[in-house]
Amino acid sequence: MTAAGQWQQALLDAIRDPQWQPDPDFPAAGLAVYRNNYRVGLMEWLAQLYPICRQLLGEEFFTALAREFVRVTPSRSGNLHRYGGELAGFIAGFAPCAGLPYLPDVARLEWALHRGYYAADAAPLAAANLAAIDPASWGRLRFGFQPAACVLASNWPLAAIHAWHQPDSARQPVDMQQPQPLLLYRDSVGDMQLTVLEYAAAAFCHALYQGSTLEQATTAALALDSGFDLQATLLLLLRCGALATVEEAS
Amino acid sequence: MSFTSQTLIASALTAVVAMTVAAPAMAAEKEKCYGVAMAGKNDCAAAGHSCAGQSKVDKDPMDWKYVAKGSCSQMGGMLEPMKK
Amino acid sequence: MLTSLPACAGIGLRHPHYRQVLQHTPPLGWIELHSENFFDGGQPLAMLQTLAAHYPLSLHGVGLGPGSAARPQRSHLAALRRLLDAVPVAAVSEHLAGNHDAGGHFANDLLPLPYTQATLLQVAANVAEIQDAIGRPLLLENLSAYLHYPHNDMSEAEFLAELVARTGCGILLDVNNLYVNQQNLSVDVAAFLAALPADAIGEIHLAGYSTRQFDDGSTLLVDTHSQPVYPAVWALYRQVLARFGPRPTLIEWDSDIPPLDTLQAEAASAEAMLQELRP
Repeated sequence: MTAAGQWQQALLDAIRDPQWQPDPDFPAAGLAVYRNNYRVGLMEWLAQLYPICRQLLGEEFFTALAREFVRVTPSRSGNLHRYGGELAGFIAGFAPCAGLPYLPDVARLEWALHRGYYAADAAPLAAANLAAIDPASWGRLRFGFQPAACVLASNWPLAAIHAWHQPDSARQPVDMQQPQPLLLYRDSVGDMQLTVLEYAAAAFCHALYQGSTLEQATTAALALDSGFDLQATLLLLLRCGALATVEEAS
Repeated sequence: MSFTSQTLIASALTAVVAMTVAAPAMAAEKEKCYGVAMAGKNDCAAAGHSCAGQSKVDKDPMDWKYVAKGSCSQMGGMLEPMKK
Repeated sequence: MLTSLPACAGIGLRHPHYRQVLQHTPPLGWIELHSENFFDGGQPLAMLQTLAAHYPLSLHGVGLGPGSAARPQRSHLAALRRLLDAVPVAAVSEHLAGNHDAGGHFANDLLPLPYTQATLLQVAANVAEIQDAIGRPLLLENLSAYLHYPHNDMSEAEFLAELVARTGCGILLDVNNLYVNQQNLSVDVAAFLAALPADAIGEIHLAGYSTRQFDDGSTLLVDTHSQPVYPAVWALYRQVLARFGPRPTLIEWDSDIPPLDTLQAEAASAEAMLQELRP
């Protein structure tokens, strides 16, 4: 590497690691501006990205959490919108958050809402697409979800926590014993929507989302509830446009 | 292969295909997009990218203690750590 | 052609003003938005398409870092290409700044780079790769910097001129950045302007800075885009117009964003100076 290239690398390293003492080529005040830009830029981004986590923890706690996350989580993209998806995992291992066991799932929800809001557009799968398939192959079908859609398995009342923190919320008390696994999708005007899934339907949708065949997903749901309503669940997925593709498993 | 899931799939898909469910139109109604984009509901990335230096200066308070003072204590009497 | 922007004043459109601009479509010469906020799809893309129907649009990238010692990130380049395929755009710009290394580590900021022959080869290759990918010329913006490489072979302006000659790119001249560098790094403004090829200047930026004091008593001007354009920067803008003639000129305001009226008033001041040059 050329001397100029080494200097560029050293500058980047010095900005990303505030403990690192670079060679005296970097004046302290100038380096301080870049270090501050780096840290504050990512912290402010996290604050925008995770408004519910921020409200749950309060401004000071969230700022301290974000600072710690930024310290250990390098940015891997020039697109800031790609930064911060590991916050849920970080919170799960962060001792000061141990008293809020639902917080990682709230962070997962907020990340999914962010990714979904910006996700690429894709034509939704219609029932007519299924009509063209030989009924003998139905069990072997695999479905691809919209880039904007996802299924979140959770043991926490995510929809209620989400609703509580909306600006126009009536702030009904949240029952923490009520699991609310979610189907997230983007509606026709581009707004992200949350639909709470019943227990067996959640297992079914989650299996489909993970790439299981229709037969595997149905079997998983029936194991939890012999009265699982496959028809209603498929209709839900189709009506909200959560599915994008279908293919026969080889 | 389970007989039960096979029969369930056969009946459910037969019904679904017969219903000719209309999939929703994608963001064609752009007029509506205005209202939504402005409502600040989902647009977490309100600002996102900027090409300016940060106007805020972060001073790291080394001795700060992590005490949650947010809505976690208001949602449903969640003051005590939960056991799961 | 480097851009199809009109040679009048425009504003940087930011989130707090989306609703007002979409609902009332006030007269704005043209608008500029940050490319990365509209990558992929959904509402943001739909909104940009709507805006493009009303205003000449400039897309200003902040994340490619063509001044890096490594190639542009492929996925980022592909996303920019898709965006340009989906929206009619009058100008595309980036910063002559670094932001990543070959290991894929990023600082989401605009970092200074060495102005040497060796760096020039890499950066010219990066700019050419970007222009090939997007199928149009790129405007490159001069930086505000808070430190500099101590062994430069040439000035930033000379480096920009070399890039123009080698790649056919254009220049986005940020007058506030130039002023900030004059104050922070003692950049010679007259020499800077003299070194730039006049035909390559496709756009001008104006903004306000903040002054930051440090524990050791030193101060730096920081390009925060959080203030009105300062009188010294207006004076420098007049100098720039006298040298290059009228160019599309943008008012940029990125934090502590004021009401739209204030931005329009700033744009009107720029417009008045542009008018003075017209026959």
